[in-house]
Amino acid sequence: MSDIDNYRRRFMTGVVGVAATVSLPAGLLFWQTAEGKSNDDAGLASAKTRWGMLIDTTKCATGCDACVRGCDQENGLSGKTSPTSPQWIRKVQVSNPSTGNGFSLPMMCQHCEEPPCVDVCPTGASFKRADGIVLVDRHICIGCRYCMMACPYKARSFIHQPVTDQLAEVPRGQGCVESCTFCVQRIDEGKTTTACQDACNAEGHQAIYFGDLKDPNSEISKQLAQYSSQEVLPNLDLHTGVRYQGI
Amino acid sequence: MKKLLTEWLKPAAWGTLILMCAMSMGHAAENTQNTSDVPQPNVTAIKGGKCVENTEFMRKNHMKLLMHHRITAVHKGDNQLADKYSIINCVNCHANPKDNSVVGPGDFCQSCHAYAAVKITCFECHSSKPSATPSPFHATTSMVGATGKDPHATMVHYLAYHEHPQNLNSGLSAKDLAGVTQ
Repeated sequence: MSDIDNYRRRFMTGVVGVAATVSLPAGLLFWQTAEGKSNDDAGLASAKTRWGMLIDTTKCATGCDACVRGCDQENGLSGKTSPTSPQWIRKVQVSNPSTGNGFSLPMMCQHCEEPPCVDVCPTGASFKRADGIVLVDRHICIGCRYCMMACPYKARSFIHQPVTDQLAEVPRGQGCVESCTFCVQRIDEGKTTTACQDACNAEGHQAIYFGDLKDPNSEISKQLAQYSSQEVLPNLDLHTGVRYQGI
Repeated sequence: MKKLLTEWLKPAAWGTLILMCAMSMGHAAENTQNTSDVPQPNVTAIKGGKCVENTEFMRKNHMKLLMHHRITAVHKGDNQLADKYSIINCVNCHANPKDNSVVGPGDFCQSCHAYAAVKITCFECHSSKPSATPSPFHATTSMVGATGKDPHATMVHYLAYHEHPQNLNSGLSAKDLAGVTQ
């Protein structure tokens, strides 16, 4: 074997040794990562829960907008209804022209299981949390409004004007899209009611149920099991988290 | 073997020498910085006492902690009020009582960011005023007792999530974790 071959052999052995030394801590790092991730999920949004809402339109009063006002107050919205004002809940009056029968219902983000807004978002800002709540990460949102066009419920709003005096727990600002969050700040604090539900109950209508759809003992699950309810636009197969009775 | 010496060790020795020169120059520059007439930012912390971590750590890493909490709070559902690294807790302690804000001229965040010429965009969306409902966290109280969440686990979660523990230089040492659990 020539000197050159010997030299090459030693050199290659050295290279392999260095590579092994470098990759070993990296491997340990990944091991540590895997362990860390499975560590503390307590108190965070979990797929064991799916938050949902049931609205009983037979109890929802025509002309009442308590839920809208409750939402505005909880989330620091202006309460204006101009075309450029963000609205998270809209009261909608529905009527059947052939029979004259009509009723009223609140329409907001339906928190779909398969949300079209998430499908179209080019940046990943629109996302669904593990517990089924569909949100916008405003840090990532570029304000393109594709999600607003994709939403079949017209549930999302764009903030056109600079916002001042936001609430500490509900950060919101110009240039982002937003919609109903199921009062996510309350849920993360461990509460289990939404502002619209509280406002509706305070008004004495009791038309809104909110709770965990995966818990068979929750009030909403019992209601859903007992009475017939429907999604809006069920043909889209979005499996919404919000369901309506009496539509 | 002789060939190895001449072809590899000689340049390696030169390289080491150059590297050491560069390092010592850098060290010298670091030493002179503190004694020079370079203007320093005039920062008032408002509430004295201990921050969520020690001052040096916070100066270097506050943006990393905020970035971490931004992910855990928005995507994972971390409780904003209970997590001591949340921006709400920053504002609650550091807001200047004169204008009830952290971003006015001379206020805590702005005084340093103006010095460093780094724009703060946080408060285009986040409230720069203390929250109406004070958070359960206070620097002198134990986090575990107040919220039932273990800050040590939060820190480990942070480090694991970002997969770059070495960037948070003093982050995972036993000393700093001892500081976290208080």
